[in-house]
Amino acid sequence: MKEIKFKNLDESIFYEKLVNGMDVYLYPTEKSKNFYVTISVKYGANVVKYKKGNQKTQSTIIPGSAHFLEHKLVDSYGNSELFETINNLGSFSNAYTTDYGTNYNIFGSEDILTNLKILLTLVLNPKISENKVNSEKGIITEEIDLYKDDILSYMYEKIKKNLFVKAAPKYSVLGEKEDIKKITAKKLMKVYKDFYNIHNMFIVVVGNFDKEEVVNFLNDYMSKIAKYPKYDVKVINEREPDEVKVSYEEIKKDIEGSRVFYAVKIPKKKLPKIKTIKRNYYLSILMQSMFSVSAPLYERYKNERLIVNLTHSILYFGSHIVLLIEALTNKPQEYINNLKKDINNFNIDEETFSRKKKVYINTVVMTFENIEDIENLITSQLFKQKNIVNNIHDVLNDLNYKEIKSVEECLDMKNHSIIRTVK
Amino acid sequence: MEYKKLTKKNYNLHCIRTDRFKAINVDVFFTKEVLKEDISYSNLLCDILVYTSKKYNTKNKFAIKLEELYSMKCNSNFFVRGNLECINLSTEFLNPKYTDKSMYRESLNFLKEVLLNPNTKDEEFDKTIFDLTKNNLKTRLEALKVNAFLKSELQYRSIMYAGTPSANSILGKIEDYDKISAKKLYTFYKKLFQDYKIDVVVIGNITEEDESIIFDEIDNVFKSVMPKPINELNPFIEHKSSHRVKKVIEEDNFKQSQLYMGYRMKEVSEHELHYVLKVYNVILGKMNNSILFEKLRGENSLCYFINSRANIYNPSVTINSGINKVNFEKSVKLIKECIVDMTNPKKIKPLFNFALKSINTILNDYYDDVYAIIDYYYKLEFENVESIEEEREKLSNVTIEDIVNFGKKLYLTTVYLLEGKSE
Repeated sequence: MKEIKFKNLDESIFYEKLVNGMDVYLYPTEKSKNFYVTISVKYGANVVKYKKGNQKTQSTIIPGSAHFLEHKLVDSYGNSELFETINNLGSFSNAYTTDYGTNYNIFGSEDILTNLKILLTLVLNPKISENKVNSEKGIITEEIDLYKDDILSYMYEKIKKNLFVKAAPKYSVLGEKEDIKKITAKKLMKVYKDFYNIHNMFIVVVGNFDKEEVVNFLNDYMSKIAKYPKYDVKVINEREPDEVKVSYEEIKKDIEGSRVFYAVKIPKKKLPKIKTIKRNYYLSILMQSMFSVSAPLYERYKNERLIVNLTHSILYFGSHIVLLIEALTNKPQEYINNLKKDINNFNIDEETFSRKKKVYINTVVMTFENIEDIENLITSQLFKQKNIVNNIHDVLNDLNYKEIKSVEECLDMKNHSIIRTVK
Repeated sequence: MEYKKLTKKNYNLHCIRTDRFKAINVDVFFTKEVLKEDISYSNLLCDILVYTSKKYNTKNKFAIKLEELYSMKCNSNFFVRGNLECINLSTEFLNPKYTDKSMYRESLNFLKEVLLNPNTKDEEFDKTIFDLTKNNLKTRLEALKVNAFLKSELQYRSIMYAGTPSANSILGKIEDYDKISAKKLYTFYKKLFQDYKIDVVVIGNITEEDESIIFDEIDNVFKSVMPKPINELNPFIEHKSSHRVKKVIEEDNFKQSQLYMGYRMKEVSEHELHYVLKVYNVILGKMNNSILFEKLRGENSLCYFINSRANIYNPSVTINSGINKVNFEKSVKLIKECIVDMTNPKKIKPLFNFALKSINTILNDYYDDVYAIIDYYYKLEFENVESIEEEREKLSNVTIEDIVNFGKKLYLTTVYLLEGKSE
């Protein structure tokens, strides 16, 4: 078992490759009485076209399929005995789908091995029939309505749609109601067979458990199941134009304040060639220096009553990065006009840069505060990259002012898409 | 975990020493009996206290200071629990062993600045900041009209709990904010140190040496404070509600419809209120395969989510689900059937042990949740709260017969539907 030490934090994660090649990450700790076990598949909503092995033809996936499949694999109605055992152990099971992957999880405190066995059985032995798929459509339709009623979720999906012309982020994770109607058990099983391969999956176990016992159990379990052939699945990403698809759109909503999403689409190729993790930290620091509550722009906009709230985030999608600024405002047009003028003026100073590094020290230390955050740290990294970054302190120390200025210089904020609510 | 309480003449200091957490949390609670007229004042005060202070008199200066303290968190929160209302100032900073020893005094000095040195002049809050905060709060309230969950929840509570403090909107009403001036708010602020019971809860990996620094600094904050003697505060509401069912349907522009059903209970014992209700609620609508989940989602595909929650302070059970409006009558009928099922030992028996195990896992989570621990020691001031282990013991003594008998005491008082557009 390989120990992955986190410098300056007195914390370690353990890694093991199982007998059949599946990756396992373990974080044993006695500071919690519970455990959290997850199985993740590196297949999410961002896959709409792919080629398997040497096949010449491309396969197309109906948007919403990854999420639909997740629903069916953990359908308690088709797996009543397994769920009875989960309940009998006082555990809680759940699952979620993102653009990058799908995660199945159980949170519990009693008999970790049985919990793991159930999770593996659910994920590795699908019971998907046409009948069950049809009955799930009503539930997913309700879920779609639920998210569409949430203005921020709705605008988030809308802005992705307006930013991307061809690439998969233009589709919502849940799919649209018309997509859901087209999904069949046969289509879901094809996706399952092509992506739910143990070479494309990993297990994370965190919390109160004995790591040797868990690894022995997993090796024993894996040695008894059929071997998975190793093949490549090549996800086909449509070549995404750098321009946004729709630059401005209004959404009717009967509210006084207006919500505005201002998103900038940046091609990765236009940024300096710096290690990804460092580049992402630089982008994050730049966005904070411009739009966080400690930024002069924030103060000015507040004092001029241009904003009520202002938040920002960065989204990474294949060949492009999206810088997203969300505002609640009483003066939407004035706010947009000002932002268009100000958005290119990053100009971070050295003092701000050093102070922002302190903020990240807090984030890193606090990640190890609870077991679900630790699982999330591992899973979210593995959805996007091959390894876990364990030298975050070194990375933070290595960030330098000269480099952040080089990133700043390359940021072209003109290529934007705006959506806003209007009364 | 080691707990000690210091009863000072003007406040109580609760100190919990534990090596479980990497941060130090200091929470200040100001508690008094709930008064409808004070709700908007309390919300506004919460916002203004953590917006600026006299020394850090702009939002930027305030936020920059927090970043310099390694991203210290300083939040305020207003909540109502039964008959009581509370203004809670919550701070969290990294244990100085990860940063700098001086951070203890610096962080606590910041707390002192926020509490005792607000941004005021001539006996009123700074006019510009006051207007800004008030307008921001009003716009945020206005914007919540497009939040289906919150809108329906507030509306349901006003019907279900009419005649009790729980019926008031926790956010206050827009028109009430118009009546508040900077001077009036300052007068209200001064009452914090006179009319409220003050509790300070400190938790973290604190050495004896650190403890004396912390206690000194906290004493510095409160030594000049002189609250009036306060009568015993009791959060539990005694209310006799009519057996007549109030059915209210309101239309809105949301896609999904929000259904609420509220049940009151007649003549319940302490044992039933504190223990039987908890187990009852888990079986009815909280566990993986709860009675409600199985009947409405599993068997009838009527919803994506359905759950129940118990309120011990204003004794009641609330069921909430997102449905399609065409399924309203059917959903109500099925929920009523579920309540009847809860009086049938044959229906409860298969789920009973699972519920106790689920509760065990939930109780274990307490040890990982710093806010749950803080809340536990705060609640001790007003309620006879047992330790988690004593509670576990008492819950394990609940029987199926208890659940059945308790179920028979429930009666429906409210059916509320916020009707959406989807069909």
